[in-house]
Amino acid sequence: MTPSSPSTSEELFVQLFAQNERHIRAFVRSMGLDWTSVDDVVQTVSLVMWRKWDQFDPDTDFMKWGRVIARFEVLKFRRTMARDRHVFYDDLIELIADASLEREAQVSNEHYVECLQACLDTLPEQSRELIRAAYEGDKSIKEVAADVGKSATALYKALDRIRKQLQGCIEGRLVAG
Amino acid sequence: MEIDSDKLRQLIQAHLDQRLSDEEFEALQEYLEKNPEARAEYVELAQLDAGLRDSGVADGSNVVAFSLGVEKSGTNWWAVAAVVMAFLLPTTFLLNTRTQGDSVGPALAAVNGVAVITAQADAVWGGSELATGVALEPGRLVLKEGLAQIDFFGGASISLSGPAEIELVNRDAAILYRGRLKADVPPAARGFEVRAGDILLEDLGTSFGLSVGEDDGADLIVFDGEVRATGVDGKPMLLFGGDSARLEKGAATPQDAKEAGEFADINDVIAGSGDREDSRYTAWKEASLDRRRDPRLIAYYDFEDITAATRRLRNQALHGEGSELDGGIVGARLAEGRWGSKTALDFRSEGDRVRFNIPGEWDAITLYAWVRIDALDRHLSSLFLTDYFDENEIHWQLANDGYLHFACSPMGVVDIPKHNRRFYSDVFWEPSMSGQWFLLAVTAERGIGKVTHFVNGQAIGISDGTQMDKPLTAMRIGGADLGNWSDPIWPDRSLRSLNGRIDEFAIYGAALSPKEIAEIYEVGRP
Repeated sequence: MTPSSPSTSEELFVQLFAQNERHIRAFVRSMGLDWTSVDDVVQTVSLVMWRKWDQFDPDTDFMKWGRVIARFEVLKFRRTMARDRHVFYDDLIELIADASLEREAQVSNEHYVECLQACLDTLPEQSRELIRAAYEGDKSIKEVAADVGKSATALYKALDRIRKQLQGCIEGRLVAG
Repeated sequence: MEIDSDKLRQLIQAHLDQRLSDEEFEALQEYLEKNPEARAEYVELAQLDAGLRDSGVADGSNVVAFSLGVEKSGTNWWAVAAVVMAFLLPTTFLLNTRTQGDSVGPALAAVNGVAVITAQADAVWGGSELATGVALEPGRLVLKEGLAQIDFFGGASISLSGPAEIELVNRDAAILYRGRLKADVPPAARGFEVRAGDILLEDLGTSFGLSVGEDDGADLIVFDGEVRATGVDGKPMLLFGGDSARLEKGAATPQDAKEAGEFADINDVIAGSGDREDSRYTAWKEASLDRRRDPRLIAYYDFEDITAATRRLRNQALHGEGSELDGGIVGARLAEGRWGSKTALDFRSEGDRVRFNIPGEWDAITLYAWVRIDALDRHLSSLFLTDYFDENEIHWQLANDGYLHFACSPMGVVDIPKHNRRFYSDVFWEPSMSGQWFLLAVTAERGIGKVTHFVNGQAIGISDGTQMDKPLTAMRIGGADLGNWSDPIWPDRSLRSLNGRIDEFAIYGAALSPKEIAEIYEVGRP
C-alpha cells in the first residue's frame, strides 16, 4: 500500500497525516463544528502533531494519537467561538466525541466510506447531481436553489430525502458486513 | 419543543447545514445531552456529511475516489508539506541562536511569560514594538537603542542599554549577546544567571554590570555582593563588590574596574522615560488642538482637565453642535491617562458611563477611542453602545475573547439573527495586555462589507460576523453610552460595563482613511 518507504521523519509525518487527514476531518466534524471551523481546527491539529512529532511512537496508532489532539483542539477552539456560531458546549462536545469513538470501534471509517461509495452508485443521476451541487463547496444551497429555480427550503427537503436514503443504504450494507 | 425521531433527524441535519435558529439550537443541545441514542444519530449523520463532503462526489466525476493512499490525495499532501515547511523555518531559526539581526521576538503571553518590561526610555526594539507591561515569553530581544528595564519573574531586574541583544531563557536566566546590562538581584532571586559567550555568571546577591562587545569578549564588574563566573574549564571564579574581570575565550581574568565603563541603572531608565513622556504628551496636545478643527467631526472629547468634580465631558469639536453634544459623566472617576499629565476616566462599576444624545443620521462614520483595557470580564464590554438597538443604530464593543465587535441593523431588533450585520475583528487582546493603552477605531460606510476595525493605527482583519453580505443602509446614534449600555435588549445578558479607562474619544461623520488613523496612533501613542 505504501508507495515508497519514507526516507525521513518529515516524510513519514506528511505521509501518515495525508493518509489520516480525511479521517481526522470527519472526527472533528462529528463534534459539531461547521466546515470552515473544521478546516481551521484540522490545520492547527496538523501543526500540533508536527510539533509533538518527536513524542510519537511509530509503533502506535497515528489516528488514535490524532484523535486525542483533535479533541483537545476542538475544545480549545470552541472557547474562541462566538455563541451564534452554534458550537456545542464543552461537556456535550466530549459526550459526542465519545459517541464518535464508540462508532469508530464498531465501524471503521474505511469500511464506512466503501459502503458510502457503493450506495452513491445506486442513486439516480438526478439525486447524485443534487448531492454534488450541495457538497461542491463554492456555492451555498441558496445559490444552488436559485440556479435550479427552486426555493432553498425545497432543496433542503430534497437533500434530506436523499441523505436519508443513503443512510439507510449504508447502514444496511454495514449490517450485512 | 417536542422532539421525535423525525424532528431529531431534521434538527441534526439542519445543524450540520448551519440553518438552525438559536432556539432550535438550544433545544437540540439539550436533547443531545440527555439522549445517548440521539448522540449516536448525530455522529452517524455527521459521518455521512463528512463522507459526502470529502468523497470526491463533488469533484464532478462519477468516480468516487475513496482510496486512503497518499497518491490519491495529492492536494492534501502539498497542504501538509506546506504546513511542515512553515513550521520547519522558524524552528531552524530558533535553533540557530547565533543569528544576528531582528529575530522572531519573544511572543507576548502571560501563560509562558518569564519576564516583563517595566520601564523604557527612547527604546527602539528590533521587530515589533514592545510596550511596557507586556509579559515576555522565552526568546530573543533586540534593543536597537534606548534603555529598558526588564523584570524577570524570578525576581531579578536588569537595565539594558541599547544597542543590545539578549535572550530570555527562563524566569531566572538570560544570555547577553551584545550590549550592556546592569542586573539587580534581591535575595529571593539569588542564583540568577547570565551567560556571555562561554562564561556563565551566577549572581549570588545584589548587583553587577556586564558588557558584551562586538569582539566576543565581555567585561564584568561587580558593584555589590558576589558573583560566580564559570568558564569552559568548569572552575568557578568568585568576584566581590568592586572587582572586575575580562571574560574572553571561555576564561575570566581579573582586570581594573575602570575597564568595564559606565552602566545605566534603573533610575536612569525612569528619569529618561519621564522626559520622553512629557515630550510625547506635548506632541499629542498640539495635534489634539489641531484635530478639533476638522469639519468632519460630529463630536470630539479630549478628556483634558477633568477634576474629581467634573460631571460634564466637553465636546471640543469646533464645528457642529458644540456643547449640545457634551456628555454627562455618571460614576466614572478621574484617573491618570496615557501620560502623567493627561486625565482620563476610569470605568469600573456596573453603573459607570458617559451619557450622550447625538441626533442625526450618517452615510459613513468613524469612531476612535484611546482605551486602557483592564479586563474583558463581560461576555461583551461596551465601548460605545446606542441605547437599546433601534433601526440603523450602531453598537461598538469588545468581546471577552479579545476582539472588536461592530454591529448595525436596518431592522433594529426585529428578527435580529436575520438582519443584524455583525463584524468581528481578529482577536487582538489577551489578559497579559491588561493595563496597556490601545487606540481602537472602526470605520463604517453604507453598502456591503464596508466596515474596518483598527487597533493601534493598523487595520485588522474581520474574522467572523453575521449578515456581512448585506448592506448597511445608514448609521444613527441618538441616546448612547460610552463604557456601558442603557436600555438593553436582553435583560439577562445586558451587563456590558467596561472595565478600564478612556482618555480620548472622537466621532466623525465620515470614514477616515487608514493613513489618517495611523497618524492618530503615531501622535497619540503613550
